Amino acid sequence: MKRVTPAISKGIAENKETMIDALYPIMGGMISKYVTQAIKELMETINKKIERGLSFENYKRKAKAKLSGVSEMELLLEESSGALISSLFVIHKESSLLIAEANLENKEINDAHMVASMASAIKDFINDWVKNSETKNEVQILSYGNATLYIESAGSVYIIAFLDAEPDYEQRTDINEFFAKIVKEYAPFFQKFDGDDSSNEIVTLSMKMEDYLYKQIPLSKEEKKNPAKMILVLLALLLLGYGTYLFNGWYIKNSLENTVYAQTGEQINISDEGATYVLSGQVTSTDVIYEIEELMKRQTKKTINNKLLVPMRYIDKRLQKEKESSEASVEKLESKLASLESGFEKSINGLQEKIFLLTQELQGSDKRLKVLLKDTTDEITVLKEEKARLNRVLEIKNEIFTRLDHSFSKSPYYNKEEHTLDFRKLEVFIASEALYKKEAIQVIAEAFTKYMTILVQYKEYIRSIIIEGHSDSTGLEEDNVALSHKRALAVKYYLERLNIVKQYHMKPFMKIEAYGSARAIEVDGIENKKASRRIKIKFELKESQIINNLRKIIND
Amino acid sequence: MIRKKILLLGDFSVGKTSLVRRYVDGAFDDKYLTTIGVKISKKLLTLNGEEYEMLIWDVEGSTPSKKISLGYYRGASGAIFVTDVNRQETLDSLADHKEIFLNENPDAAYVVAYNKADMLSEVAKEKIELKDDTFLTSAKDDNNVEALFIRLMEKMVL
Repeated sequence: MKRVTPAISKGIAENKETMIDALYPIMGGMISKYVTQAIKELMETINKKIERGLSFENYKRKAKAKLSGVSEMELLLEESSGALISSLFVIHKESSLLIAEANLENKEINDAHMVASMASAIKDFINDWVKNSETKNEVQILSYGNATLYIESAGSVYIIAFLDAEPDYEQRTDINEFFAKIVKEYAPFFQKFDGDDSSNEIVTLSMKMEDYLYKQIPLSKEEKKNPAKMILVLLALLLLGYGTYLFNGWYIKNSLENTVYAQTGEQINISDEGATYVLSGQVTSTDVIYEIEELMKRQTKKTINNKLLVPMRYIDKRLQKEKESSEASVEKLESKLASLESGFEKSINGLQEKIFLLTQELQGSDKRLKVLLKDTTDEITVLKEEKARLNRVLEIKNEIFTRLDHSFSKSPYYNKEEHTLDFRKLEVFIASEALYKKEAIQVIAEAFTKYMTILVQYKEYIRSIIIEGHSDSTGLEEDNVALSHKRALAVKYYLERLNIVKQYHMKPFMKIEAYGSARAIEVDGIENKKASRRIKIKFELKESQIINNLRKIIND
Repeated sequence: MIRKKILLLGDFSVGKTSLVRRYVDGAFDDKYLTTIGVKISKKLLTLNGEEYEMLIWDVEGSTPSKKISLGYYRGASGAIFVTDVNRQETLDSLADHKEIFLNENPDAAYVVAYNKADMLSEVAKEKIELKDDTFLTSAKDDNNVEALFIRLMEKMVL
């Protein structure tokens, strides 16, 4: 054996972890202490199983060994494997930081980074204790209840596998081989790891670890195969397949015959001739022959060779039945026709009656409509007439106003806005007296005559000449109303005697209105009592009467 | 995300576990501290918009009869040395703790916590000379605890 040179020895001493990472994939699985330990544990497991002696499992295993030809020892070996790895951690050895993890579904470990650190601390603690006890081994298995941590170290990283039972030799070898692969592939990355988990290597490593975890599931369930048994099973499957094929053909043929019977009531024979079904036998009518053929075409893609026959006795019988059936149908049709004729006649009579009633109703409606139309036309005519009168009156009104405005343009007693004679500037009455002053009534008479000279020319449109009596606000208002009434009445009596009134018969048009002090004259908020004691003369045309007539017509 | 292993080191009863308890997001049970001499906790923090996670190893104070595994020290990027500001002997042993730690991790960052500051009078506080990256802390009053951890993370990653 070649000796290691001092330089190489020094190199190894200074870069121990890098060297182990490089050598681990090669030597990891070969280290004798693991092999020795593993075989020892394996033998213990097997011995325990043999010691179980007369258990049912033991007899079952013996029977299985005899039947399958596999030795009982091999079966025991098989039984001794299969702890499930639920999670894998790759941990940076120096900092104890978790580099990558993978978990089976629903087996995720909470706070994985803390768990990784804590597991490292526990491992360090135990390793320290082991060294103190002068034992050379490193801790590899940590168990608590059903949980087992299998720890395998390389130079700069170690792997922790979380299992539900202690792994056997085969499983440890498998984990170690997988670990060796990832150490070989990722060694440079592991050596430079500084706690940053954002690199792509961590993603690919995690994916590989997850693949490894999920590969164990089908493997643990898969049975180990015996080649002879496999061939026997294959033959059995072939026979079963052929039998199924034959049975399938018979079953389909039988099923088709039953379908034909169920749908047509005919029992026929169907024979399968490869790509063709041959139909044979006797049926009761030619229609059924075609019906069965159509039915078969719907049920199968094979071609149909129709050899079905109908015996003559069925044809004669059928013709006789069809003849009887036709005669019965003719009788039924005749009866139905008679019934329809009778119903039709009744319907026509009913319709004629309805037409007569409707015609009468229409005639009545027509009369009512004509009356209504006439009434409406009359009303429209009246409306038009009234409207024309109204327009005329309005024209007259404007004409009167224009003439009055012109005639009284210089009079102090004419109110141009109201077109009235207002004598507030003339002292007609002494306070509390109804009797007018003589000189004042003459002024009123003169102005009234001039006013009436224009109005009498429009007599036919005049409705009334109104003499308003007013008082000041001194005393009780009911007394004032009575006083103003007397004043208006006194003036009216005087004016009625004027020639212009007599000549044009205007007396019936003259009316009085008493206002008391309701319209007393105020200047700057102070009543002018002299002015309040006054007479006012105005006229009304018939326009309001015409408007009332129009409203009445429209409302009616 | 970048993760860093940090250690909390110092004599017995200086308040390391209380500091961690005040600060962290998640931790293992305290029983680990008494059985194997270390308890792991974690803390997520953000610096300049980047997220970092500290894995904090709260290491039991060593005694002549109970030595702490050097494996715990290995691979740490930083350490917080904790002393009890009211007990001189804990200040005196600070240099030993630093030496052991820096022997294992020569490039690592560290900060120092003068803990239990809540028990000091204001006059006493003024007399203490605080050098760079030394903090007067109180787990009880939550004084300077976060600043201590953030400063260490800054030293490790910036």
